[in-house]
This record gives sequence, C-alpha cells and structure tokens, in this order.
Amino acid sequence: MKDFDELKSIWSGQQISHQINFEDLKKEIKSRKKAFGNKLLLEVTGMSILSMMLIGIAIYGDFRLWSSQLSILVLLVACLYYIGSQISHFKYIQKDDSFLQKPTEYIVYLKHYKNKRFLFNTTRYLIFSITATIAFTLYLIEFYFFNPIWHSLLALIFEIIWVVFCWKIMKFYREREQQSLTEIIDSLEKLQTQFNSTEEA
Amino acid sequence: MVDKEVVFQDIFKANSRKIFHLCYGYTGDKNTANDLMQDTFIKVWQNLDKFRNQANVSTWIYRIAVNTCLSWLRTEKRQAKDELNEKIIDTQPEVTSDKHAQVAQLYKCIALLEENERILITLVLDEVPYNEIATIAGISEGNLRVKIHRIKHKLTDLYNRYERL
Repeated sequence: MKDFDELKSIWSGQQISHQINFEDLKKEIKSRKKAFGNKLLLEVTGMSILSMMLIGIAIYGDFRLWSSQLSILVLLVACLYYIGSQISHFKYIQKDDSFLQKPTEYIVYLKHYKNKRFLFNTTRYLIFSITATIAFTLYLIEFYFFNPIWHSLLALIFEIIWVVFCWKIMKFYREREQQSLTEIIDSLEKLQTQFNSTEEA
Repeated sequence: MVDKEVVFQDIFKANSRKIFHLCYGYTGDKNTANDLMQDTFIKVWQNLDKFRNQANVSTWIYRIAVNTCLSWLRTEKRQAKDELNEKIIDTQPEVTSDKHAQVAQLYKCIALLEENERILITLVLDEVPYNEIATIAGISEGNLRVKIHRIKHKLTDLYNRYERL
C-alpha cells in the first residue's frame, strides 16, 4: 500500500523526458511561420491574378451583350470576397490570444469557434457556388443568341452538371463537418461539465 | 530579436520538463505529448511580448499548455478512454526496473482519471504551488483544495488496486 507522498516520490524520480530540443523548436517556429505565410500568399496571389484576368476580359473581351460583362463582374466579386475573407481570417489568427483564458472560458470559446468556422466555411462555399452559377447563367444568354443551338445545349448541360456537383459536394461537406462538429462539441461539453463541477465542489 | 531568443530559451529550459509531464499525463501518449509541448512553446514564442511584464511567467505557460491540451480534440479525433488506456499499456517503454514500472503504472492510473483531474494532479505531482494551480485553472483556492483532496484519494486507490493485481 502506497500513500500519495510515495506516488509523488515515484513521479519526481521519473526518467521519462521530452524529445524536443531548443534548436529543433526554433526551426519548427520558423518553418511554420513560413509555411502559413506562403499558403496565404499563394492563395491571395492566385485569386489576385484571376481577378486581374477577369478585369482584363471585362475591358477587352468581345462581348455582345451587357449580361456577359455582368457575369465577369459577378465572378470578380466572388474572387474579391474570397481574398477579403482570407485576409480577415489571417488577421484574426494573428490577434488571437484565446488560449490565455481560463480553461472554462476557453472551452466556451472553442465551442463558439467550431460553430463559427463551420458556418463560415459552408457560407463561403455557398456564396462561391451561387455567384459562379449566376455568372455562368448570365454568360449563357450570349451563348444562346449568338452561337449554334448545340453550343447552347452543351453549355446548359455543363451548367446543370456544375449545379449538381456543387449541391452534392456541399451536402457531403456539410454532413461530414456536422458529424465531426457534433463529436467535438460533445467532448467539449463533457470537459465543461468537469470544470464546472470543480467550481461547484 | 537576440534578447527575445535568450528569454525564450530560459523559459524553455525552466519549464519544458513540467509542461511535457502535463501533456503526457493528459494524453497518455509520448509522441502526442511531444507535439502538444511543441505547440505550447510555439504559442509562448508568438506571445512573448505579452509575458514580459507578468509576475509569474510559468503560470501563463501552464495555462497555455492546459488550453493546448484541451484543444487537442480540435484537430485530433480522440480515442475512447478505454482505447487510450490500452494504448498506454502497449506503448510504455520496455520496463527495465522497478522504478520504471512504477512510473508506467502511475501514468496508467492518471489516464483513468477525468481530463480535468489529470491536469490538476500532474501539476500537484510537479509541486506547482496551490495558488498558482488555482490561477491556472481559474478557480478559487478553496475549491481547488477540495478537488485535489478527492483526486489524491482516487489516484492512490487506483494505484494500490493495480499494484495488488
């Protein structure tokens, strides 16, 4: 039979130690910072190039109907929305010091954060899908009036496939994310109960 | 920058062992504990300026470590408690002496506690003062004492029960 003091002496005599040295840690800090910055830069640069191309097409493209130019504008708005949301998310991460909160508050924060991210991701995808569909539809008008009928039919088939694809992907994403979110929220609620019971003790 | 690195190195040297124990006690897995410890110190580095004027830097670091452990499930699909305990038994290093066996046994028993109990007891075992643990956990010292009293009994019972087997 051992008492707690004996357990404490077992604990203090343990040889188990971490495998991280300071130099490796410094390297990891630099590489993570670089990787995150590169990812953001790549996404924003890609979207910016696409936006510039769209502006170029809108100005120099040989469109016969204003609806086609409007379709380009709609796509441009979608790209700018994406860039804006990425930058605001980056700023949010930079400022975030939530992990300095008390554990009970932090658990509440995690629950809100999870829900917010889910809503943000699904909303962002929905907005992108809708704007792209609107843009294709607007461009389809010019196709219908100035191209052979089979071109229009092909374009229509493409758009139908696009809508079905977006809907299916969205459904799959929502279901998968929702399941994982529910599991995480359940675990967080369990943790919150544990910490709250500490308060009540 | 050099000054920041020196401060960070000192903080790392002074706290890394205890932070590792906390993460290991919470997750029951050495590799995951290493990852969580690394994440904790990366957050410390990113917020070093906020620590400069704090009276007790270790309290802040512990709180970051606790919250990093709590958010482990944010990125990692955690295993059920039973599976976790099985993993601890399987992944313990080759038991070469009684001392190692006792430490392994102790970690196994800690894994049987609830998450918040694991966090509190590892801090107690590492002799972090009660007032500091209360600040880290964000509860009153009185409540903490009651809770710790209960966890100490629970852990001792578990340990003795396993030792008899």
